[in-house]
Amino acid sequence: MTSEQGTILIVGAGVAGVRAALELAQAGRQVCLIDTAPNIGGTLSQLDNQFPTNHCGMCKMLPTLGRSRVAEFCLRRSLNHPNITVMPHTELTALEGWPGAFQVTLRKAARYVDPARCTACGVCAQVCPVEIPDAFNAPSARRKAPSPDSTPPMAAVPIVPSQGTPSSPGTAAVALRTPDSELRTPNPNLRIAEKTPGVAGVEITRLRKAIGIRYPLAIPNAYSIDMQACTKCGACVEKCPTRAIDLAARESTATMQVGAVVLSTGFDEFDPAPLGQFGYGRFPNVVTSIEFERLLSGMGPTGGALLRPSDGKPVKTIAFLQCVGSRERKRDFCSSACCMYAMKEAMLAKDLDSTIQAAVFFMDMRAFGREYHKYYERAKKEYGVEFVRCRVSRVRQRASTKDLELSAFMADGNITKREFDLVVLSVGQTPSKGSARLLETLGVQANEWGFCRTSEASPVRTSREGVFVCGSLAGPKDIRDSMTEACAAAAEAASVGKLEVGTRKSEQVSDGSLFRVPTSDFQVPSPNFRVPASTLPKTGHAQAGVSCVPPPSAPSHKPRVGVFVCACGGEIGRKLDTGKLVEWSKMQRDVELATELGYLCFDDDLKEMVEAAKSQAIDRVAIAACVPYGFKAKFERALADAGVAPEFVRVVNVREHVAWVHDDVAAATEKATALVGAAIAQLRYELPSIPGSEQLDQGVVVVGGGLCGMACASALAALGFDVHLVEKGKTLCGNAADIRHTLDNPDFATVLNRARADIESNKRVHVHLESEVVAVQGHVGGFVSTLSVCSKPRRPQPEWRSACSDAQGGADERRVAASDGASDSPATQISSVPHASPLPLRRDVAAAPPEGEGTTLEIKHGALVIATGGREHVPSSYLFGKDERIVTQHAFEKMLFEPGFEKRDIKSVVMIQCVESRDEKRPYCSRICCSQALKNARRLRELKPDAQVVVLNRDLMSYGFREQWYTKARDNGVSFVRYEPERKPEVSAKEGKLHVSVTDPYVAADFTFEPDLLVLSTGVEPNDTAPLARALGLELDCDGFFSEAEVKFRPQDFLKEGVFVCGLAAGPCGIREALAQAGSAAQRVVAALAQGTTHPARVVSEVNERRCAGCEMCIAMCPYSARVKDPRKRIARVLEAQCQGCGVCATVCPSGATKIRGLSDKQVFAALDAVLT
Amino acid sequence: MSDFEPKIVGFFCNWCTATAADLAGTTRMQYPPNIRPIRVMCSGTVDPVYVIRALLNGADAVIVGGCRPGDCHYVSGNMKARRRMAILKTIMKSLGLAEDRVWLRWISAAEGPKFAKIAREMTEEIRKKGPSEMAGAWEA
Repeated sequence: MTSEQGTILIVGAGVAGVRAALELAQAGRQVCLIDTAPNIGGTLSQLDNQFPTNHCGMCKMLPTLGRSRVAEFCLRRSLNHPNITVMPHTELTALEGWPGAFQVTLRKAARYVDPARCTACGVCAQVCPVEIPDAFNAPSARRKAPSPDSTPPMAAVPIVPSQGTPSSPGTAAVALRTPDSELRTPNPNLRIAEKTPGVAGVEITRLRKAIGIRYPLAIPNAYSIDMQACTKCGACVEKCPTRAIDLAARESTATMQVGAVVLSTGFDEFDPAPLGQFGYGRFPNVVTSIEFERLLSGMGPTGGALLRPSDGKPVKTIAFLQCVGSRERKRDFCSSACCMYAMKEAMLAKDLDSTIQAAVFFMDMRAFGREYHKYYERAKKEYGVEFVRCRVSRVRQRASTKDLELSAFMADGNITKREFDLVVLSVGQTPSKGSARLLETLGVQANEWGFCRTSEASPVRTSREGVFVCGSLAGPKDIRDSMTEACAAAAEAASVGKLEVGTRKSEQVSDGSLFRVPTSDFQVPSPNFRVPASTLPKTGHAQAGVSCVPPPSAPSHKPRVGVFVCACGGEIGRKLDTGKLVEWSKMQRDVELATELGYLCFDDDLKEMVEAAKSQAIDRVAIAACVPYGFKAKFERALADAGVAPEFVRVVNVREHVAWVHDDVAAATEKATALVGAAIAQLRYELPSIPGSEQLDQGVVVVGGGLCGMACASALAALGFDVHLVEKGKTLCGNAADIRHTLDNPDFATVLNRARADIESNKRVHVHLESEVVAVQGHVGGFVSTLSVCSKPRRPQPEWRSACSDAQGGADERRVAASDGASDSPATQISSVPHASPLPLRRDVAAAPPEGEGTTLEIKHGALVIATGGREHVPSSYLFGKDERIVTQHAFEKMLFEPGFEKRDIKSVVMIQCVESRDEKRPYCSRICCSQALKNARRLRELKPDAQVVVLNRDLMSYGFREQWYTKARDNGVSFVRYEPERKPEVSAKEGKLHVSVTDPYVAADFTFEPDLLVLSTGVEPNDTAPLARALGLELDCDGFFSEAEVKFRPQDFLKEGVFVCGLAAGPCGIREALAQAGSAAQRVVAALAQGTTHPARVVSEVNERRCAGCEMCIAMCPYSARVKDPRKRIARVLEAQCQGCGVCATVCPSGATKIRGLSDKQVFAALDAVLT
Repeated sequence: MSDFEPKIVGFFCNWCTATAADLAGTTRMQYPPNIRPIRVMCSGTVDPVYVIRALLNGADAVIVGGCRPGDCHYVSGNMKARRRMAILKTIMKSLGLAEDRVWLRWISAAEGPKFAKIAREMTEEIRKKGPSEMAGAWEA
């Protein structure tokens, strides 16, 4: 199903790359995920906590549908999707061909340690004589893995024996950081070579060996060698118990065919060493934000204690310096994430020790977006983090104490000096090393700072067709925006594959069109996404999709359990008595076979296990081995050959939980026996998975025909889905119709009109104008939405005619094919139900479709996307509405494009930012108003070069590349005056003139302006979506925006499966972000529906109908809306497709009717009995 | 009583605490072997009955390990666990049972050292307390 569409290559396995890979894999595509580093995870693996939750949250990135395939463990630990091939140490060196049929050349760096044979036992690191700084915990040494071609010949590397005793894990050792100029040297070995006492610049760094692993539980969990430090002494080769090391390994090249390429090579932290004024590299107590992140980590160099690098004393005062490497003349962009992470780090530090004083020295606090402003308020009020608005000019060090003194220009013009124990530089993002070469190789344009060039209208497309970009490579951004872009890039990459199904050859299409609309040549429907009409669920009510097939019960015969103990070449075998464990296992009830094998992860032993299981007709297997992250999937696949279903395989981690942590062999053996006994006991009561057979409806309803809704519908149509675009108003485009220009695009209206025309001619998109969704029932893959329709649907006239005439017999419900586009195999069915009065169905007028008010439509669909948008807030302050010279930004924009504006007598304009925004009533930043102000000021100055423009602002949110427009506006003579929220500007109208007075706290002066026009930036507020939220059972936040499932990792999702959100409905966003979100929402739909049927459910709730009293407690408790009432039987049911198996319902069930399949009470009790005997 | 080795049952959530235990293992942090881990999907699934049953069946103590508040993979399962354990402990206390043999701890996936530390602390504490009197009281 997938090969014909072509594999998709993802370059860079950071958070964006992993997300894109998961998305495509879920949609049924084959993905090849490459990275030059030995492990995946990128920068994210160094961060323990994310803003604005201050939690890890990484597990929430996992797919929630079909989770038994991938989602058994969190993404920090494993990535096991059968459709994803992870290729670390690999580089893309050439790309030829055309979209859909690219030929890529991959250079695989020499893998000196074979990951397939490495068991991560660590014996090699024990014998390795070379120590290098731990780049993971001291990122100053961390740069991307050296590219293979830059590896010097080995003879040239100086031999540096290790000094003293090897450092034990968890203890801090002192290593040297070389002077500034050598910080970026690719040879970390030099640092050790120059280890001389008394040299300044000593830092706490945990040393590691030249052979090692980047961090524990890295993916893939295999060691690698830093060949620049390696002396090739061969000690590791000799000791490696699995002979995994080959120092003579060579790099290789491979070519493969791919359909599309997604670039996500991310960013490197800006190297602050060249900025001498901060003393980074010279002063040990000046660290970068990532280094500080590691200092805070429990697995970091100090074990989570916040100690000063110079003397190991607890840190009491910390200064965070913002905009290091951002917002300067040479790098005129904002790194977008630093304000937020500085606040996070300050809060985390205060969580560790509340007496720590943290001060953030900033220019503008760019906590833009919905949740972020609240986070800023929390940092200020709840945590007492001090915020000082000034740019620090210099950091000095006291020689005796190594304390740091900051010189700062304060707002009042004086220079103040303050002392701190530790200074954290909030370093900006810079394109990752090697990305320049990568972009050049691919022929993809970069912008002036080396980031990949994209346009506002197509945020994830590069200048080369078929090559897409996401994450920080396309411009600095945080994880949330990277997530969105990753999904959007996945959607676009997948639609290239779709086009390939047609007859397309290499022809470049770059007409600047906003959306990709497939022309008729490409309209070959893919078999993947079509469901035969006969198999569609026929239910149309609340019980749509509730499986009425009884779940499979346990096999009736006696269980035959096989126990396999992996000795892990002595790693397990030495630390516990495996012989005794095997003998003990043999004595247990139901155990037919127990045996010990050398290395279960190796194919030979695995084969032996499978053969043994086959010969003894084993149907359940307990495996005592290592961390199950990597191998469980492999074991399951192998044992499937022997007829053992995956749910009947249990892996007991006797290596990490027993062998490696307990010295006493007898006690360790006892514990291992107990754990294996528990696994056997649990297997005894294991039930087979519920097979996923239910068909998923492939239609999609998009609510809201604004820019986001149109883009989402367009993207979905390009992927082969039928879309119903439901718009409340009389026309499409929504707010976007009022946008005339943007910062990046002076002629936005033309682009938008073309896009609207595109969508109206798209055969897969059915537009319902003046319609609203009034009720939604069902679940993912089987929704039934009721639309109140005021006008006819645009497209399906022929079918309407026939349906209406057929229905003359008096049938209440008529089903018709939705559209001519889908008439070959209708994926969506519409039934029209007379609402107020029965339709006049005279045969002679039946040719007219039902129209007028009072009609409802029922649409069956598989997923729903909310794009209901927002609107400009209408203020009541600043005399708005009382004087016609006071307008909002929207109105001002309109005015600017009115003919004859040049002739109007407007000499001076004052703009006030954050009007009724970022206050207690609307505690969020609207993100776009500062850009609006900048673009309108620019336009005004273009039309009237003499006009005076003053922007009164609190923090100017020109994040990302918008910063350059802020700089240009200042250069162009636009004045920016700050005001404090406590002292807002005052507006009055006296003697026919407007007076605006403001106090600038930073120059300590009062200004009064007499503008001809006062423009208020009032920000965004959501449309009234409460009825829709109620109909869908979704939550709105206190500001009326939809609350997503997880603010960071699941920005488009809800806890309820199959419903997604994009655009202003989810929070304020600009055009670029809105379009990325639209693509992202489309991709989330694809990921949910592309499989065609529901996934098998392994760990899932189930109900004993006879016991259920219908009390609905489970329904109230379920966070995923996976429990519903069966009105007929008056019991609670489980929607297996939505159930995540958390077990909350089973615990609250007062009658014990609900239990968790795969982890039932019976199994827990059996395990308890086993571990306690 | 010095050679008394307590038997402790640990109900560890799949996402955080079980992962922390793996992490402690990977970094080879030594801790006493007295805790017998049972992996559950969420600390919110731990029925008080499991805890009581463990204590009656011979466990000297029970530890429930979950994600840190706000970080639950299942949104709020750990908060439900917290409430549930608080009620259980109140009931145990009013019945004169040793409620301090039931521990609830938040250990996130990155906190391998914390897992080892808690395992050490708990074993030490229970060792001091001696065998549980609830063990074997099944028939009573």
